[in-house]
Amino acid sequence: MIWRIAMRNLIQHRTKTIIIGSLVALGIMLTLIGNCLITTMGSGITKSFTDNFTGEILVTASGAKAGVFGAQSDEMFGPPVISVLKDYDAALAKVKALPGLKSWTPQLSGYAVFNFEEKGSDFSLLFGIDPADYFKSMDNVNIISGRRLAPGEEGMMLNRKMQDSLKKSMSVNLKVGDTIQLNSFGDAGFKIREVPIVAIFEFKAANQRIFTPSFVDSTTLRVLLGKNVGPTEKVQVSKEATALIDANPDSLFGDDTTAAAQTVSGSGKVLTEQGLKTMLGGKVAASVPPPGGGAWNFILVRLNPGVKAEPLIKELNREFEKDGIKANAQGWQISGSPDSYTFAALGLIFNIAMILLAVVSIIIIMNTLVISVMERTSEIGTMRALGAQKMLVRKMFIAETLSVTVLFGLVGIVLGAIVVAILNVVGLPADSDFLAVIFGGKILKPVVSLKPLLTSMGLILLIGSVSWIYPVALALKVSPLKAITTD
Amino acid sequence: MSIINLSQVKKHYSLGKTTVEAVRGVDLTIEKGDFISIAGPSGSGKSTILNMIGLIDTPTEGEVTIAGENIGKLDDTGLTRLRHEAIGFIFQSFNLIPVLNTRENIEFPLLLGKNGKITAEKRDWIDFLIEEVGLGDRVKNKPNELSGGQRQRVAIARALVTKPMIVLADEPTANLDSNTGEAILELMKKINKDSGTTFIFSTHDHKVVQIADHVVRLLDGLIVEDSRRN
Repeated sequence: MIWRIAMRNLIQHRTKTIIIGSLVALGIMLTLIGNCLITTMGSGITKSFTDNFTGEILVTASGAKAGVFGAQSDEMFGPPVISVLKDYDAALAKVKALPGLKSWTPQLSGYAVFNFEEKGSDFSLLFGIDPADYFKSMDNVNIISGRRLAPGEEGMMLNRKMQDSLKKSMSVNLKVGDTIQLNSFGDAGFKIREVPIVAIFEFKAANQRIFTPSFVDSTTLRVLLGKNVGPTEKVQVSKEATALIDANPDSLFGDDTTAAAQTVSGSGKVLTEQGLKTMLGGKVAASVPPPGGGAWNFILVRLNPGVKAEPLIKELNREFEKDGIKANAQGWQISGSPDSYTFAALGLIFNIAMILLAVVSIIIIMNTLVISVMERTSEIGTMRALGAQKMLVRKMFIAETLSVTVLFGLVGIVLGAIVVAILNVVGLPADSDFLAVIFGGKILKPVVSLKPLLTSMGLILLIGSVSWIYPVALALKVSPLKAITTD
Repeated sequence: MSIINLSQVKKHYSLGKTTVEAVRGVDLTIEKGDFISIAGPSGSGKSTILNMIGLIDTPTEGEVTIAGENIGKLDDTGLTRLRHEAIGFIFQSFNLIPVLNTRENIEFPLLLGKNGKITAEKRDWIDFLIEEVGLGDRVKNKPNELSGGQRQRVAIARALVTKPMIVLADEPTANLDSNTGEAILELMKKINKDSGTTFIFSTHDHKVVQIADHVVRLLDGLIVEDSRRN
């Protein structure tokens, strides 16, 4: 009976019902569309960063403020300083024990000057990688010309955007096979390296607005940054080698001594002349980078599809803290700034708009119901006079409010889903780099997913559950006496 | 057997800074099966007394007892329950629920309270009442599709559907033409005789006063006549 009365009242006052309902439907429709856009953008921007730059989990040095691009560094002048992950081996052991782990790869990040002598120079970000591991984990590049770096090879994969930029600014037309001189000046002094260009590439992600990193082998970048290039384990030095300590310094520069140095060994690894020069930042190429050793800034962790990163990040950090490992696990956001902040701000603005929309809807529905209570004072009084308890009056108004909000809310969801489906087919093109970042790609194809649907339904329930409170409080004050005193 | 007792009942209303004494100490006893008319000019206090008997208003002083229960000791829930179980209302303006049709308006009080389901027995009783008030061909009509007399007949059937001990009728003929008014009165008199239901009218219609077998006249909040006819 309550629902019958509620529905018939809504039909009887159909103009009012349609006005309220249209507002609810419009609000829910806009909320769903907005939520779907935001969710799709969120997935896009997350995927573009995790697939292309950071992995699902990024392990950094404890307290490190810089991501793979060096953003968020405290350095006011000069290139950002990215902390070395000193407890790399211990952190890696914890990473390897992660459930849902697909793969991992270490990475160095740093800035170097591309020096073209009299033509000029430019400053650029470099990713120092171990190509064997890196490209297994990060399938993130399209090779335009050349090939990927080979394991143990010294060389550079040049970002096409950097290539274009150099061509425009200095008329330097770099191509595969050319060599490039890289300079760096820091705490470890002035460093010079010369490496061949093995590829021109671009990142698969459209998000290349700010960062134009190129790849170099990790040994080259270590040398440029003045980081430890050798294994960190204890070295057993032979008697022949220690005998050099007592030798005449002048004799060290003789041919015999060089021959003696070539026999120095530690942990089964031969310390060659070439390796020594590499350590010192000489111009001689290092043919074999240290296997797994040396300084790294990051471990990029890839997870199996469907594995959620957040609980594993927490788990990793608990493990690091428990064992005193000076490392920190985090999501892509630290590397993704300022894009991640732009996106977060967009989400915040949208959420505020959604709250305002809900408040406006509630106020309008509330006002309309208050008018309805005033118009129906006699009816409510009559019901009370005939023996209806206050609960029945309450239920009647709740039924009316819920009917309007749920019915028209569902209409809003259906309309919203249709609009999203159309947008999915048509696609929203990113006309600018900014939009490409926000969209997480060159074209946004929003999809209706569970979260926006649940949010919209939650909003419907919120509006339906709140907007009756004040009108019902008024209705409950209606005395049965009003049945007699009101026409 | 007395069904309603009013003992030294007073009712005061605040009207701005002044207090209006609507009822100034009334003693009244109503027997089961009475067909009683409470008459008097406007402002004499007849509606106030009817409201107190109908449990929709409470006395400022004195005691009102309905079917053995002192209404002063009941809270809103208790008053509503007693109103539902013991009293039927017929209003001057009919007060039908606009969105319900004739049959639904009549059955509405049966859906209130603890036993809110319509059983076969209750359905038969509704059918009987619909026939009794002569609305067999109007069961699907909404109030706005009925004449004044037909609406009042619906109100009468609705007042009787819970088989109350008391039916209160506030100016039941005021909004009806004289012929319809007479027909309605005859119908209520017939139900009174057949079922023994107590009917209490508030009226200044002399026809209602003529047909009543117990007449109470009020003036300025006091009873000036309380007479019974054989």
